[in-house]
Parts: sequence; C-alpha cells; structure tokens
Amino acid sequence: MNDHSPLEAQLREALREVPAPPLLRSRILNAAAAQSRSTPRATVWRRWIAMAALLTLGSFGLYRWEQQRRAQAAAAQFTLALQIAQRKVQHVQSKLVVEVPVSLTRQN
Amino acid sequence: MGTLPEFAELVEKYQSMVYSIALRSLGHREAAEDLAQEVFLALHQNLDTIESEDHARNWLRRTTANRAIDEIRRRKYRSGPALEEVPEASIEPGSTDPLLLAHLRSSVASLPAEARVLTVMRFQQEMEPREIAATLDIPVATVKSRIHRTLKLLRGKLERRAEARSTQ
Repeated sequence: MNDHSPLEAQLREALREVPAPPLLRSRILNAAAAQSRSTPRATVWRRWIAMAALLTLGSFGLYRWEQQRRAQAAAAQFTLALQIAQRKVQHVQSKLVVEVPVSLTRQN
Repeated sequence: MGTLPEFAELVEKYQSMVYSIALRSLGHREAAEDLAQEVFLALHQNLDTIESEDHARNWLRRTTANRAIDEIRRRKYRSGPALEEVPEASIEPGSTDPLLLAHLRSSVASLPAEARVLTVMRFQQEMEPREIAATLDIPVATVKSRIHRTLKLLRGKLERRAEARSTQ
C-alpha cells in the first residue's frame, strides 16, 4: 500500500488539501453562536413539555390511586355488611332452635 | 473543551481539512462550504462528548466522510465543470501537468461515493487503510481492495487519455 507509484504521487498532488475560503470560519462561528442562542429557548420549551407531561402522568396516577382506594373501601364495607348479616342470621337461627321446642310442648 | 473559544480554535485549525475532504469528495465549492459548516455545527452540538484534540480531529474526519458519502448519494454529484472551477494554479507546485491533475480530480469525482471518499482519505489525508476502515466502519480488506481497484481504474483512464493525446 505504501509503494509510491507515479500515479499515487499524482493523486496526492491532485487531491491535496486546499485552504478554506476566507469567510468560512466566520460563517461557521456565526452559525454556532446562533445555535447557542436558540438552544436555551429550545431547552425552556422542552422543560415546559416535560413538566406538563409529568403533571398529566401524576394526575392520572393520583386519579387511579383514588379510584382503587374507593373500590377497596367499598369492598371492605360490603364484606363487613355480609359479616353482620351472617351474624344476625346465625343469631336468629340459634333462637329458633331453642324456642320452637318450648312452644311445641305448650301446644301439646 | 465545550466552550465557544475552544470551538473557535478547532474551527481555525481544522477548517481546511474538513473543507478539503468535502471539496475533493463533492467537487463543488459551495456544497463543500455547506458541508463544512454542517459538520462544525454538529461538532459544536457534541462538544461535551469530545475528549481530546485527536478525538476531535478523528470525529471531524469521520463525520465529514460519512456526510459526504450521504450527500453524493442523495444529490448524485458527478464530475463536472465545477471541479475545474477551483482555482489552484497558485498552490500547486507545478511539477505535474495541471491538466493531468484536473483530469485526475475529474476521474476521482466520477467514482462511486464510498470509493471517492476513501480515495480522498487515503491520498489527501494520508490515512492508513486500518484508520480508514475504522473511520468508515468497513473491513480493512475492503478498504485495500477498493484502493487497489480505484488505482487500477484511474491508471486505465490515464493510459487511455495518453493514447488519445498521442493520436491527435
């Protein structure tokens, strides 16, 4: 690869580096400065969007949590009501078992 | 690294390198200037990731090469009068026939995108095949075979040109 044939030497000469145009440096620096100025504005917008997204997600999470909490409370109340009803039924049943034989003997 | 004064130093130091890779790859001065600006703006945006000057130079070479390939493919830059517009008589040492150099530049500009950029990196930037392979993310063997094929092709073109001139 390093044998310097006449063609390679000619290619080196033909493709050699050339000085950049005189105004290229200032053109690049001006564009970079403009880029730097526009970046904070873009950053502010990105922050607002991020905050809005965070708020939306937060509100949605809170809403879901509240819904879940209410559902759990309702389920607990329902279970309690069932337990109370069950205890009442048991109480009535036990009374029936005790009182019926006595009334039957009175009739006889 | 990361502040504008240092960026300005990098621009000062490497603008000719970036511009020359772009110019010899695209063959158009305005397109080369646009590409150079684009590459330096990308560097400006990525300054935080640059660790050293060597890193910056390699980054600039890689980015310029890849963007030049993309640009050639997108706009189908081919050899044309724009190549000969570049005023170089004053900077060429004069040891070689200027017409021959123009013919060579034109021939390089007629190569496919990757071969063109690869030739510029090899003969302008004096990069070794393994460096080019790493820069363009292709195997070293591919780089070597493409350089070999390019040289063969250019040699053939020069021979045909010489024959045509001798018959005139």
